[in-house]
Amino acid sequence: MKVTLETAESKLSISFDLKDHSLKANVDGKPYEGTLLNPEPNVYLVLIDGKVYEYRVFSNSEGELVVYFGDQSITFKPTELRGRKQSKVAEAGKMPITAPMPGRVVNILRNVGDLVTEGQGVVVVEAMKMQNEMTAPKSGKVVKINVSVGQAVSSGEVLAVIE
Amino acid sequence: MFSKILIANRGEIAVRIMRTCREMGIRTVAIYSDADRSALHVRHADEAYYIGASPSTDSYLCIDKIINVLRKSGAEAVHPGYGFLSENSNFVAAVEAAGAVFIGPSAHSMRLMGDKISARKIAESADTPTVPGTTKPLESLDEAIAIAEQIGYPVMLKAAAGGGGKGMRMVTTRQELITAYALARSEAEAAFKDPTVYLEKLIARPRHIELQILADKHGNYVYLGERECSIQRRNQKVIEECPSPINDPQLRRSMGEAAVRIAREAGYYNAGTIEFLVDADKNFYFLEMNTRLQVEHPVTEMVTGIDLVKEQIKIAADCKLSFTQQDIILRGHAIECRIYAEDPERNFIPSPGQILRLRTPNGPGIRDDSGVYEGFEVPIYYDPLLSKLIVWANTRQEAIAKMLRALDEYSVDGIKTTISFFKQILRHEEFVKAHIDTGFIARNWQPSLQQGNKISPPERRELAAIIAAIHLSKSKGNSEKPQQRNLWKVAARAEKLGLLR
Repeated sequence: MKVTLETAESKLSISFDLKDHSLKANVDGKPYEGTLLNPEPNVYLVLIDGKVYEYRVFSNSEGELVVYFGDQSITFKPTELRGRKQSKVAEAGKMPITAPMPGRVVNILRNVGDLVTEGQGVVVVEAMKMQNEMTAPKSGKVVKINVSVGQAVSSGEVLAVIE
Repeated sequence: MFSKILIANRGEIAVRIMRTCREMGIRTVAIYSDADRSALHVRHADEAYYIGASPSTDSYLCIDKIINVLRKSGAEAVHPGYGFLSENSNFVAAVEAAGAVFIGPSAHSMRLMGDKISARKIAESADTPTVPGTTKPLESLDEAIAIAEQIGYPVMLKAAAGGGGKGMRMVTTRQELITAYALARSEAEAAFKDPTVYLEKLIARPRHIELQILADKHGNYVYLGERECSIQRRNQKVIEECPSPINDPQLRRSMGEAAVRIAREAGYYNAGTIEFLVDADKNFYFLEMNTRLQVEHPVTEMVTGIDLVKEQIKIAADCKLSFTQQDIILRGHAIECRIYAEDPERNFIPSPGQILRLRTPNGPGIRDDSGVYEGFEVPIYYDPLLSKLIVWANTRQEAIAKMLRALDEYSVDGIKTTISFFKQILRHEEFVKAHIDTGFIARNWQPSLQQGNKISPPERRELAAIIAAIHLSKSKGNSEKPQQRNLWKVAARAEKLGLLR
């Protein structure tokens, strides 16, 4: 079985052959051989040369695979998903202010048309009792405010646009 | 003794209080909001009552709704936990007016000590030094600027009704003060429904050391040793220890006696904590008093062997303390790490969401005071604290090793937590040598440096890719659902569409 996966930094070609619990795999030409166990749903153990590696895998709402090991995680995107999620091409000269986490808009500090300097607060979002000022990514004019006070926002949502 | 107690809180602290109640044979009553319908504290309680929408201003901060539950359930006492209404003297009065007992101090001493400004006056009359600053609320931004310039920058801006770092800002310039004044007031208003703020001079490289006291209603006072809480970010504690690595018996005694003097001066009873700033020369200054159970109370419990919640309940039931100062012995060393739903790689921004898989540590000397479970959707509305991991060992060095082991066993998949961050702190040379002060994290962790600390060996990453590929091929065909369905959400959506009646 051959699969191509993408991370934020690179693209990996993976081939693997799994018979019973014996695993032969190859990542970009580098071979791996060991035992693969699946002791509980979403949990995999790989045994290679007596070493035990534990991984937990979950798919997210975007269809990506998030692999956890220790206190770290890597997100892989199957190449077949490429293009399905359209990345917004930034319009020339315009920069969005996005919500870094889900939360609630508690204050809007600027109006459309206001001039702001880089680092100046535009929208205040509250999550888990902490108010975070979302600042202008560059100096310019506020051309759009997409949210209103009290509105719930999700992670990555565009709150305002600076030109 | 009471036969039924209402716990006016949520999350890990509600669960922790219920555990002691159960051990004492007391039935428990939980309250919950929309977001908490299937929260762990609801599952732990004998009875649970709905009190309103998810924002705490519509639920956990609504005195009248909680008093209604108190009447309906027939509970004889109310434990407020920490945060929410725990330091609201109107709530104390309302509980008492409903004929129940508030597990905490009297409304009067809560008012005296809960207001940070009048608390400073009490400390002064109890012969305890305080940090230079205002002794009355700031009337305006102009006044704030004038006072800051008089005592000199840097200064701390604090909420008079505050605690837990909310509404608190360090300010180093006039320009910063202008922004911070508005933000601190608005945060204080949101968190405590009181925007009053005041100013204090910033002590250079202070340690935050606090004294736990217990007092009964018969005039008996004890101090239960100190907690070292210098590891803070955004003025919020993240790691606490008992005892403090710098405290010697003499310092402990003078701080403990000062704490008892202050409590006595305020006519205080039940559990309370007197917070001090300690400078490099081991001079201590009264900071504030927390008139409630502290988040970090378990480290004191581990080292003294005293269940603080049990003592709180007994004191509220008019019992006398069953021990004196001579009986209090500190044994070994305890450390607590607060497991927050925050992303340490992105400047600790909140990370709410569903916990897909949860594994908690176990074994000798480990205690995990948790408020969550696998599958739980961590709400955006409340404090990001998921759990408190506490370890106990004979020495500080052994406790650090044990905590590192426990953190290795701890995994919370689906959301970001501070677990990896704690491992870095506990291995940091300055922490190991106990050369710590409240600026430790700000000094040693720049958000931009965080990412670089977690580069794993290529084979671990490549194996991860293999596992992802295998999982992908397995899940194909059996049309795996991306995430566990939240039945509440499904029902709410159906309801909106008119599918349910």
